[in-house]
Amino acid sequence: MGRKRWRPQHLRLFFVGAFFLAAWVVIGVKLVFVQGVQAQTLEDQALDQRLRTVTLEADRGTIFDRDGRELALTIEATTIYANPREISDPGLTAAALSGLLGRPVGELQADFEKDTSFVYVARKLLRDEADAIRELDLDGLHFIVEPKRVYPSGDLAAQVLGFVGTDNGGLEGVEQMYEDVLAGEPGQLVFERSGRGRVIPQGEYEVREAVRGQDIALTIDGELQFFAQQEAVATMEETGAKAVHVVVLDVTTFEVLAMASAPTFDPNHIGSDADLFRNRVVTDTFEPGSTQKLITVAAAIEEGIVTPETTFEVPDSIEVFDREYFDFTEHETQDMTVADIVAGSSNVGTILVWQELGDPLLYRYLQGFGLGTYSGIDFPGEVPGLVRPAEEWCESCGASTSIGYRVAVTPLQMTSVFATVGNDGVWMQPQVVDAIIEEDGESAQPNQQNQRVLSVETAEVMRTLLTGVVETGTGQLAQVPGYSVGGKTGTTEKFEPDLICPGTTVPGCYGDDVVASFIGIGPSDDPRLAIGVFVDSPRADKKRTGGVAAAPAFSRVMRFALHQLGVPPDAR
Amino acid sequence: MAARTAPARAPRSGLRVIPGRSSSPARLSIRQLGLLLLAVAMFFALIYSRIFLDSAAFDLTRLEGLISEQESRFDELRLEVAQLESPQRIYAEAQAMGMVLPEEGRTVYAPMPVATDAIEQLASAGSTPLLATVGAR
Repeated sequence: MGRKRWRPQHLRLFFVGAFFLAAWVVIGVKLVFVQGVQAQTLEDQALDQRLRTVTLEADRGTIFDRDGRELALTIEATTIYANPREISDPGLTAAALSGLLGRPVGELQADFEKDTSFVYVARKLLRDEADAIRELDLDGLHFIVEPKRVYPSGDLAAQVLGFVGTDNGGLEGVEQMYEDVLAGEPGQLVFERSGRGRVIPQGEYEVREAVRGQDIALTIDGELQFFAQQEAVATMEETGAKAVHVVVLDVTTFEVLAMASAPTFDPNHIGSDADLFRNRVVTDTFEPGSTQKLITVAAAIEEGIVTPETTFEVPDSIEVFDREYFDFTEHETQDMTVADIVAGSSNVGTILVWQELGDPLLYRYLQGFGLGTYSGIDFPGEVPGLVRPAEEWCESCGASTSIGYRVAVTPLQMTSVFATVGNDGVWMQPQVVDAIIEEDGESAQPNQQNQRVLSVETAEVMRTLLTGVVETGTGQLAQVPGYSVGGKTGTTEKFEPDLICPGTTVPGCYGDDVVASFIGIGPSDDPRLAIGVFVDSPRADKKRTGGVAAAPAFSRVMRFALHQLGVPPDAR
Repeated sequence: MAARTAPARAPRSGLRVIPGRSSSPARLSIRQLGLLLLAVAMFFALIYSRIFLDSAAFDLTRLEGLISEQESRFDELRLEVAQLESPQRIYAEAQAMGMVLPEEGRTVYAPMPVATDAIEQLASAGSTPLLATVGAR
């Protein structure tokens, strides 16, 4: 029996078979490795490449005025970014965009030449603006949709509304104060996309809808706010003042109908002057001066110490311990009733009333009228003002306080004092938010505290005295044709913390600047409104008293507001 | 007797003749044909359903884009309305038309109308007659 001989064709078959077997083994091993050992990792990597998670920004709630006018709303806008690595000719692209964006060619070109894959070209453009750029069909530009906060009425109530940052977070005003309410909750979209970025049909698709922020209705009356702002600007121009503030309160509800300051800003194009952003009606304090005599006299009447007819012998100056106080105009010592003291705004007469009243009672009434504490309006940056406890007062402090010095108040606080008299002696928490509107259209009203400060009778007496100020006293320029109104003038020297008085070395002295104010209520018999006008630092060559600098603006705003509210004339 | 050599055998070519089968070609029964057709139909139906779903998904994406575009347009119109309602604009327009704020407000008092049957009927139905309201003010 002979041995079986390997022939060449057998050898070839063997090698081919072995090769294929080895190949199958390799493939098999790789298969096991890929499908078994690496399966989860590779699956995750693949999913990561296909899956995209997008945060769905919640629409910020709208802010309305009391009549439903939209003061702040959110619209969809387009943000354009560039991938410089995809731009073949940065110079040409920059030149094409420069005119449309209003940005210098050099600046854009420098951006496009950066070694990065992302650079903002323009943020939050309106659709037409974005479409004009889209039509250029430039390489390397990408478009994304972002929400944009807009203020359709420009600077209307700007310091009340505040504004938002680029991330749509509230930075000032109501936008900041009610950030939690307005912002809503962002949602999330998860989807699979192809290499070209298109959604893969039947792929993973998961959406958690964003929850829209709630709307807010303010107590602000848009038209009245506009008029108040106009008057603030006009008064600033007339008096050469640094700033003018106007506050309009509804005396029955303490709703703020207007809260204006000049100069102001446009929240659509905020500049860099942060001084303009804050709502100075609640953030800035001043010494109220003669407008505070209302509290001294009201307290004395309420306590039964004086009546409007009580007569004092009033010289034109008085010395209280180490200080001497003067009336604004020189006069012989004369008999003045309390009504005369208020109408003529006599410092000396008011100090005589204080001497009857005493420090503890004066302090109690200052507190009762809400001075020295937060008003409760809860506005960002609101200050409580300053009223030191009576036990800390110096021997002449009560005299100064009775005529509105040594006390720091905000314009809103002081206007609230007059609103209290208009509201039959009941002080209420001022409000700027009328309602928070829920998704289902229901609205939630903020809580409001109130307290009685004066009796109805005393409030009525005070209204008569205030009417006398306008009819025959220092506030005659505040008269409103067809209506009876009452109010009080105030002119206070401004305390300069850095100024050094002659003969002293300690900083802190009264300078040349004054705050001229007029605060009043109308109509006198059945008050609807309290309005305060505050003129900060009118120019020295202008008339600088409250009765001249502030009262005319009060008259105009009161007339407009009464017409606006449809209040019939009541002038006798 | 002379010995004979056996004739040389022709080398085998390795091929052999297989006798032909006389069986007739297999025929599909109607049932089998039906199943085959059903399978083919199901295959195409599956393909079609996938295409249909995919095209619906593309339609959905397109519609979502349209909705987004319309929402954007709505937003812009809303903004335009708000800008048109702005007191600044109205005031400027009024000024351009030569309008001024009245120096003095005038209130016109309408006399209280005599109650008529119609007004009483309206009142009993829960409506406040306009004239009565104006008169009351």
